[in-house]
Amino acid sequence: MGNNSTDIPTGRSLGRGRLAGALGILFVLASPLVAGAAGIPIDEARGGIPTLAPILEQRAPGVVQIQVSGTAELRARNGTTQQRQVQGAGSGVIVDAAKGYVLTNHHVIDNASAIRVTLSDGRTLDAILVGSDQATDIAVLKVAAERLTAVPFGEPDQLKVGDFVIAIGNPFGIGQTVTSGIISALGRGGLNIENYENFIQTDASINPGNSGGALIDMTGRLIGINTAILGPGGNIGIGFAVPVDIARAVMDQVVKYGDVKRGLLGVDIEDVAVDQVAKIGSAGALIKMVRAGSAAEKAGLVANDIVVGFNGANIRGANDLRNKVAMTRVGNSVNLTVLRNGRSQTVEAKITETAPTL
Amino acid sequence: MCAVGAIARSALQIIGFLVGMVAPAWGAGIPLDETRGVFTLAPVLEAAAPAIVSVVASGVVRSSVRVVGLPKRGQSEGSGVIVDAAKGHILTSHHVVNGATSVAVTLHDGRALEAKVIGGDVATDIAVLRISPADLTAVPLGDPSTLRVGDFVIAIGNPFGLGQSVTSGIVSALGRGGLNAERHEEFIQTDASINPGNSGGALIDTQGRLVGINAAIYGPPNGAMAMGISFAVPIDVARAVMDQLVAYGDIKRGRLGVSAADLAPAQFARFGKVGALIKGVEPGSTAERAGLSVNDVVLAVNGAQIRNARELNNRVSLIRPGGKAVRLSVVRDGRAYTVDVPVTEAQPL
Repeated sequence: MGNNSTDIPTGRSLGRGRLAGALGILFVLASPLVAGAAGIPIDEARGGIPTLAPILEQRAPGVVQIQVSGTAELRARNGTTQQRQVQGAGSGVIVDAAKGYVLTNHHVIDNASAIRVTLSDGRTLDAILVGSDQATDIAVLKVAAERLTAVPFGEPDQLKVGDFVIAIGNPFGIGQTVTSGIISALGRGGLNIENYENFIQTDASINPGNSGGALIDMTGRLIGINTAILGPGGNIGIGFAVPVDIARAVMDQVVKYGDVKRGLLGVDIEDVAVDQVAKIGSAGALIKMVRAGSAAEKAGLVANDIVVGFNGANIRGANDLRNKVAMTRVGNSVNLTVLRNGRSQTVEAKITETAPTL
Repeated sequence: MCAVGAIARSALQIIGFLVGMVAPAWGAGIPLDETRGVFTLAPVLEAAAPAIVSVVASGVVRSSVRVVGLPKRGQSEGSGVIVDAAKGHILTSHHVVNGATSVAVTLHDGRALEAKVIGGDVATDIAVLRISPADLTAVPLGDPSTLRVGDFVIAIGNPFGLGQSVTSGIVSALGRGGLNAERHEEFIQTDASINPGNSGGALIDTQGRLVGINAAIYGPPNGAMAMGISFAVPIDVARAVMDQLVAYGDIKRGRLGVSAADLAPAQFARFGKVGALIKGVEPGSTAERAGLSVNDVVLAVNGAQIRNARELNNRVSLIRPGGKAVRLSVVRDGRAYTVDVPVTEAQPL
C-alpha cells in the first residue's frame, strides 16, 4: 500500500520525486448538503433547491492557482546530468488577506525559482516563498495585493467521519474546480508519503493540480490542505489532506522564524492496547521508555505513564502525540495530561532538544 | 467484470460505493448533529462502523487478475460485515476467502480474531464467516426492495488495506445483471467509490441498515479502481445464501423446469412492464405437472414482484429444493391465477 501513494503531482513535473511515482494525490467531494443552521444552504431564488453555491461564492475567491517555473537536474541513463527548465501547476489558499499569506504544498513549489499566483478574479501576482516544510509538505507564500479574500480556519479536532466536505483547486491546471464528498477517515497515517502524517481522508475527487488547494467544511471554513491521492494518477475516491492545524502551526513558525524547528520530548511511545482503552476510558500514548536528560525526564515522566492530553487537546494515540510534539518549536513548553497508576495529573515539559532533520 | 478481488478476464472489476446525498426533505434524510449544528452522516456511521471488519485470507490461490494494491501473493485482503452479533456471523465476498487456509478478521476496535469459513457460494459471490461472539456489534439488515435509484448510500470497507474508510454516493441502478452470464446477478449499482479491498464490505442506507455487500467494480482488467461504477449484492440475496450455508453447510439451487423471456414492448399494454413470459415448459417437470404453460406471464414469486425473466430465475434459484412449493402469480388469457410449483434441484452453477 505504501508505495501506491504519492503526492498530488503538479501539472507538469517539477523535477524528480513526488511527481514521478505511480500514483497521484488529489481529492474531491461527493455531495451533500445541509440546510438551515450550518447545513446545506437553500437557494430560494431558484425554487428552494439545496446547493453548495452560497458557500462557494463566499469562499472560492480565497483559493488561487499557482504556476511555478524552475530548474531541475535530470539524470540521463548514461549517468550524466542535465539542467532542464520545468514548470508546474498547483493550488493555494489565502489564509490572511491583510498580510497576503497563501498556504500551499511544499511539493508544489519545491525547486521553483519563480512562483506566480492567479486569483479567482483573474489577477496574476508574483509570490514570495516565506518558508516551507518538507516533513509536513506545507509551504507559505506571500503576495502583495489589495482586496484579497481569505478562507477562515476551521477546527479539524471537531470533524467526524461522515461529515460533508468540499475541495477547491486547480486539477490538471484547467482552472478553479469544486468537488464534494465526505470524510472517509481521520488520523490516517502509515502511508509513507510524509514524515508526519495525520491525514483527513476523503472521497471527494482530487486530481493532480489540486495539491495545495482547500478542503472546507459545510460552514465554509478551511479544515485541510489537499496533498495526496492514492491511485494511478487520478481520482479513485481516496484523497488525503493535511489538517489545517498542522498547516497553521507550520505557518506560524515560518512566518515568525523563517523555518520550522521541531522539538523532541525524548520518549519511546506506542498506542494504548485495545483492551486498555476500554478500561481507562481513553485512547492515548503509552510511554515505553524515557531517555536520560530529555525534556520528558526533566518533567518527571516515567515509563508506563499514558499521555492522554496535550495542551488541552485529547491524544488519540502514539502518532497523534508524535505529530503534536513535532509541531512544537524548540524552546516552547507544553502541558501534558498523564495517567499514572490510574490517576490523572498534568505536567509541564519544556522542549529543548531539536529533532533530527528529516 | 471482476470481483473486487478479481473475477473475470474481461474488462471489469468489481467494487462499489456510494456517495451523495441531497434530499428534498432535508430533515428526513440526513441526520443533524445538534451539538455541532451540521447535517452529517457521522451519527449513522458511529452506529454502523463497529460492525464492519477487515478480512485477511491466507493461502489463497488466486486464479484471476492481480489487483493493484492488494498485498503479497498468497494473501487476499477484503472486508466483512457482522450481521449476527450473538452467533458471530460475518458476511463477506466469496472471492475474498475462496481457497483460504486461514482467515483473520480485525474488528473496528482493533481486536484481531481467527475466523472459520462456514461456507461460500461462487454464483452469488457470498461467503459466511464465524468468529467468537464476544462483545460484537451487528448492523441491522435493510430491505433492498424498497430502494430506488437516486437514494443516498454509504460504503464502508478497507480499500487497499488502508483501514476502515467510508465513501458515499447514490444508487445508480437496480437489478443490474448481464455482466457475466454464468452468475447470479441482480446488483445494486452505485457511484460511491469502491476499490480493491472494499470487497465484502457494507453498503448501507442513510438509516444505517445494510442493503448490500460490495462485490465488484467496473474497470480495466488489471488494476481496476473506483471510477463511479460499482456493484453490490442485495442483502436479501446474501441473506438467502447465508441461511442455507448456516443451516446446511452448502447451497442447493432450485428450478421449475421452465424457460422464460422478458416481455416485449408490444406486450406492455397487456401486462405492464414487469413479469416474465414462459417460453417453454420441460416435459415431466414440476412446472408441467402444476399446469404452467407457454405464454403464461409470471408476475410474482411467493408474493414478491419480479421485473423480468432473470429475476424469475434468480428468485427460484435461491429456494432450496425439498421444501414448500413456490407460489407463482400468473396471468393467462387476461386472468390472474396462482400456481404452486414444487422446486427441484438445479445443476450447480
